[in-house]
Amino acid sequence: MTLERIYEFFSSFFVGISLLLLQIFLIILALLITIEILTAFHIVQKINHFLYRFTHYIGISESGSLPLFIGLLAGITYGAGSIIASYQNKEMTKKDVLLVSVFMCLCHALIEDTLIFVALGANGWLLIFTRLILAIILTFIVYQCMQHQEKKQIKEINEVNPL
Amino acid sequence: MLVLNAIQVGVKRSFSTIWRIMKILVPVYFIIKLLEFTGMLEIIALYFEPMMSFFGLPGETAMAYILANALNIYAGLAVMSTLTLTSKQITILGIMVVLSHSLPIETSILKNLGISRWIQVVIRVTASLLAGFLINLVWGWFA
Repeated sequence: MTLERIYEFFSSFFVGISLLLLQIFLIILALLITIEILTAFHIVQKINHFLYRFTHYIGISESGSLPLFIGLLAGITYGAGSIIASYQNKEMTKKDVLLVSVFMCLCHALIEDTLIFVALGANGWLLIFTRLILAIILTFIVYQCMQHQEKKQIKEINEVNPL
Repeated sequence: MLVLNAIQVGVKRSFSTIWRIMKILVPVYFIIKLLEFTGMLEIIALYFEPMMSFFGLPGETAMAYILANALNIYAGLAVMSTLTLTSKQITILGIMVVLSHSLPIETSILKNLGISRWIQVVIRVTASLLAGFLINLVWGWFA
């Protein structure tokens, strides 16, 4: 390998990595400042109130939709932390915790993950909707299974102790 | 004042986040560039070509998918940015990677909330393979 090839390699490496890091940094900067401003003005709670209209269809209560929203906005680590905090405060039931976790398993850090691929040239709407639809379907299936089991248990109790 | 404080915290956290990302991104990017320059990437790509053709993707993208799953989403991004891909390929690979990435770290976070690690891996990998396959099939309807 000649010296020229080595020079070519390192210059393309440094140019490429600098551009990539700059892109990622700008996306994260914009997102984190937005999140900080949203929490400072308590806008997260207001948006959550609106979000609950949709989440109750997949069995998630209003106190459960706040950790879900935080997970969607800030990532799985913050979402999980928020779930644990509100479960310890007895705001969320066990059922809520499971449903929100299932949803977050497929769908978290929705804006950050999408934007870094949009920067490369992906269709962002397709990324967002595919992920949301799959997560909603999965959570809905788990919700239906849980309801089915609950009904079965109630039926069994009634059979043992008929009123 | 509240806004200034929020911006300050946001900037501080961005720097610590980008530092964390750099530690994985820079070495991965370097190694992939090296593989590409020495022609090794083409050889690796040949092995994965038949598998990735299910999703309408070239063989090199297997590296992006595997590294994104084993390390994190930025490792996958580093690989993708060294490859020349069409917008369709970037979207399909992007969907597959956002559905299933950094499995070792993220599954242990949700394990604390009561979903077993293996169920999570199965759910995420199945969802990503299924989505990649389906989007490749129906792509013609959108574009």
